Amino acid sequence: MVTSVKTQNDINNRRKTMTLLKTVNAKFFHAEIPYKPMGKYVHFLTVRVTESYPLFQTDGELNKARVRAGVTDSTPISRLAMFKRKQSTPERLVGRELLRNYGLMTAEECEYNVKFAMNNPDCIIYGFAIGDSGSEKSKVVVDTAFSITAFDESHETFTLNAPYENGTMASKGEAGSKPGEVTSRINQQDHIRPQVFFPSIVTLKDPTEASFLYVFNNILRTRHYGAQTTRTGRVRNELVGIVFADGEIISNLRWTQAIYDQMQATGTLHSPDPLNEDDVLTAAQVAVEGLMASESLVHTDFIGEAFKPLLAEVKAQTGSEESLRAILRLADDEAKAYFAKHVEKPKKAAAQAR
Amino acid sequence: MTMIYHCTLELHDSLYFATREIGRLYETEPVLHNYALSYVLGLIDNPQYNTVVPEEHAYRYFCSEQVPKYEEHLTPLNQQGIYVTPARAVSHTAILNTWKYADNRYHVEMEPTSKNIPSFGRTKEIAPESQFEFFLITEKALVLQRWVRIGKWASKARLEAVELPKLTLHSAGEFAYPHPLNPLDVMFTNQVLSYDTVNMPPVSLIRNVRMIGEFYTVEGMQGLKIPAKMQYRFSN
Repeated sequence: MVTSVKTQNDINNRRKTMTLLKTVNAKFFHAEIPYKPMGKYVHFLTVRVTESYPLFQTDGELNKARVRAGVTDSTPISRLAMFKRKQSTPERLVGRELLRNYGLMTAEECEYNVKFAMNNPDCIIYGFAIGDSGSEKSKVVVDTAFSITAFDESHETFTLNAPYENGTMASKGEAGSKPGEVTSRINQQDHIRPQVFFPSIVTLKDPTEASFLYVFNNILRTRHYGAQTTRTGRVRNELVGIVFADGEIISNLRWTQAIYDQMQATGTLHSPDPLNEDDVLTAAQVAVEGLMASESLVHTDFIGEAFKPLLAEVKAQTGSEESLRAILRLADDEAKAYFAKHVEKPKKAAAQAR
Repeated sequence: MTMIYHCTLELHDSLYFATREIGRLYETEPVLHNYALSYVLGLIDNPQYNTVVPEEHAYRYFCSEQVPKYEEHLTPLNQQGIYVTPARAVSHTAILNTWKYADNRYHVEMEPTSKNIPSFGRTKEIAPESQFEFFLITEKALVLQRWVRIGKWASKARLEAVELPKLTLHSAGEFAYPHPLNPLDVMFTNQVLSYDTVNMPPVSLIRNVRMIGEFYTVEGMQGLKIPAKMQYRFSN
């Protein structure tokens, strides 16, 4: 694969072929990927909704955390937790799949957590660490997400077994077993219920327009989280809005707690029934607007009605093959230019110095 | 005019950094090092606080080597009269987590490792909603961020800084300080008599310290004596 060095001119030319976002002011984006943090942040406000029975676990147990129920309601409850890496990994993999599909990366030159090529959008935007070859800090930061509802009403215990051909657990003498013997191939496993909601903010630092769209697209497209082998990890990402800011905003925990308070106040927490998605999204919007109003940083919010045109525009751009290809190409050019200027060159200089 | 902020850090995600490593178990001690906190607060290489470092030491997204530059980064804070003390837990709980390095294949054979890089392990982390407290001593009023990131996983935490009212500087005397301290930063200006050690890299901390030196008292906070004249010091 030819990895020619792209100059800023090439990138500017490429940018002309891509339709620029009309709903967002270009001042929120960098013209090129900066080599040091420049204090531009974009926060994607998502609510992750389970649609089947996912598993977020380590050591055979679902991850949970005991925290306050709300910001005002201080009753401690146990919540399901979706760890940060369990959110970012599937999103990265979706992006990598697309880069390969559109011929911008091959499986041989870059393999996740095995061999990072360091010069493609995934490596530069989401970061990598390779022993002596250095590390690129991730520009995407995700935090542990907590379920709005308590652990006990958000999970179910399933019994798993591996029956014989006849559908029972009793042997008929298959493969040398004793007829009538009951197999011990039985297990129990906790699963997260469908319609459990995890409010989660994905933060992208120092975005260019292409990296913003790249990450946005990954969030919109990712459908599976958690243990991959279970085939039950379907999760849908609903976006509540986007906040451009000059720093970090509220935490997932605080947002979740504010949503809990809001839903309690409006009487929409009908425990133990699952939450109504419309109620959750309304509460999520009200809660985040309330919290953002008291933040002491410079921010521009696209939430609720204000978010609709932006979401529609992004979906239109990522939904057509032609414009998606243009976005990926531009993201790739930017990554290659960054790699040549800030990764490859300093490494060569260091090697010469030795 | 010296001012002291009493800072509270509330975790909103689990916090992990390796205080000690016991085989495949990595433990997080509920004590935050003052070097780490100086970075967490955004005080380093920040034009807002006049602590910009020379270009060759500046923080970059790409790091070709993992070499800490505490001296280069923290010295500008001394010049601005800014000092952060290590933090102790006000309340905390710990949780155990397992982590692994996965790749995106569905079937992975366990192979003997060729490099000294762990592929899985267990971490003892500090749970969300745990709280820490520390002091920020400064010559000028500072505006701090409310949301900060801390630890190996860049966990989000809420920072609250309250300026302590009416400080009085006392001449050298013997006093006890229950919070953790960085011994390098106090021992050149204060005489340390007794202490407990908290082992942690890169500079182990001390706590329950009895010492002789100048100290501040705060109106309305009985018994609190904060050592004066602390600044970042390096052994060489």
